[in-house]
Amino acid sequence: MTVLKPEKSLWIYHLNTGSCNGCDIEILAALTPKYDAERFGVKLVGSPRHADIVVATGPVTAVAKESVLRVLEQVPDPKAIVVTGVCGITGGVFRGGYSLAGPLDTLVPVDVYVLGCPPKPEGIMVGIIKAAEVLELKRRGMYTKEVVRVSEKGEVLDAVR
Amino acid sequence: MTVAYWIGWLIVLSIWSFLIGGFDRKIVARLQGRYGPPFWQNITDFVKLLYKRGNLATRTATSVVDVALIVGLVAGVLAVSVLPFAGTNGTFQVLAFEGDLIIFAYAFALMALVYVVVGFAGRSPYTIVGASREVSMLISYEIPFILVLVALGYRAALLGGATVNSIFSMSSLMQAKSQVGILVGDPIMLGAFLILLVLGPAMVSAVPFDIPEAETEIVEGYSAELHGPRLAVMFALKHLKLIAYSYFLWSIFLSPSGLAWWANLLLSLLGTLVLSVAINTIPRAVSGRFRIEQGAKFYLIGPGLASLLLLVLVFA
Repeated sequence: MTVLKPEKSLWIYHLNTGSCNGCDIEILAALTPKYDAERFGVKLVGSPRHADIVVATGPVTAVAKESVLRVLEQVPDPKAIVVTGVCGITGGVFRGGYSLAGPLDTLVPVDVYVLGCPPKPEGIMVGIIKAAEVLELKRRGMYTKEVVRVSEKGEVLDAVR
Repeated sequence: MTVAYWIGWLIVLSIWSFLIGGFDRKIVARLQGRYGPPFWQNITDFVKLLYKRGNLATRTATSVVDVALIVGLVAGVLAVSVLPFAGTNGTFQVLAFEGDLIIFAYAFALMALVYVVVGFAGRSPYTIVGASREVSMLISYEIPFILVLVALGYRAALLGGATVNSIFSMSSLMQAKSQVGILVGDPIMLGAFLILLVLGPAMVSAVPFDIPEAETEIVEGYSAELHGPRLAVMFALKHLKLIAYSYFLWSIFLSPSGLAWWANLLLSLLGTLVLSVAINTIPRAVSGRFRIEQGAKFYLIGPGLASLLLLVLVFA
């Protein structure tokens, strides 16, 4: 029953934690007819309670921190978190700023990093597919909390473990 | 034996309803020049939702939601059960009595009310807005629907020579069908069919009239706070509604009589697919969403006046 396995249906929720909007535009580009994410079963949902994968952008600002944690708490298990763009990974140019509450991985466990400022839609697509593999490992109880890095053009830099 | 047939038919129909949802996504994707998801995608979505686990929002009235969803499933099965289905000799109904057409209308209104109850029990601003929009839409499309059913039943009684007290029974419709052949050949019946076709997108909440569950404005409306198996039931309910309505249109108006049971079954599946493409997929592919007052006004003025005219023509 490989065609009916849950990882063939990926409902993603787009979470902006204080991004400059560059990565958000690229996420929307990844969902346009040109890249056709729906062929992998990807659907953009508006409510975090419907989501399987959270695609997060931006360094977490101090104002956004509480809301971000509440939204991530609402996503049902098994879930995967994909961080898009260097701001979400290290803080980027905002690192050390007075208004930051940290990159996202200091607050919650993150599964996939997509590098780039901003990454290309190809990179985001590959990140989502890798998150599907992470979801499958989580469903089988074989997940070892290793973060997968994907380059901005979509090359996978680490294997999913 | 009849019950075994009926259960098999329900299973076939529910799987087919998910496949129809998949064909819908595939057709829209091809129209947009995309490859699109596989046609079994909605079954995958349903299975996936059964796997998900999480905490329901603390303010959601969980028991109310559960009861409402069970009532909705029962109403959906009821709506399918009063419709005639392909048996070994001709078509037959599981639930047949005088007034089963009213049961069908009632089951549809009940499914819409389930959405309303789930929305108000969600107690989130999104779900409450979705529920109140569903109430507005229900008032606007239910009036023409009931008027058309009255006209339809009266015309069928006239055609089939049944008495006036059986105007709300499927059997008098079937009797009329056996005399006319295909029911849309009759001008009044054709009018009723066209009005019901226009009512279709609102009955199954397809895109120009999916105002209560607008994904981009109020995040799926009444089901915004649901997840996991409860959302799966909601998902199944939506598909059940689509297939019940398109099978209603097919079995009453378009299905030919006097076929072998397997030909009848295959034609039913094909007919529901074509009708659901007409009332769900094509409107979704070619138009955007209306505002709530536009939707309500459209149904009260367009099909509302048309159904009144039809009623006058029938009784004249």
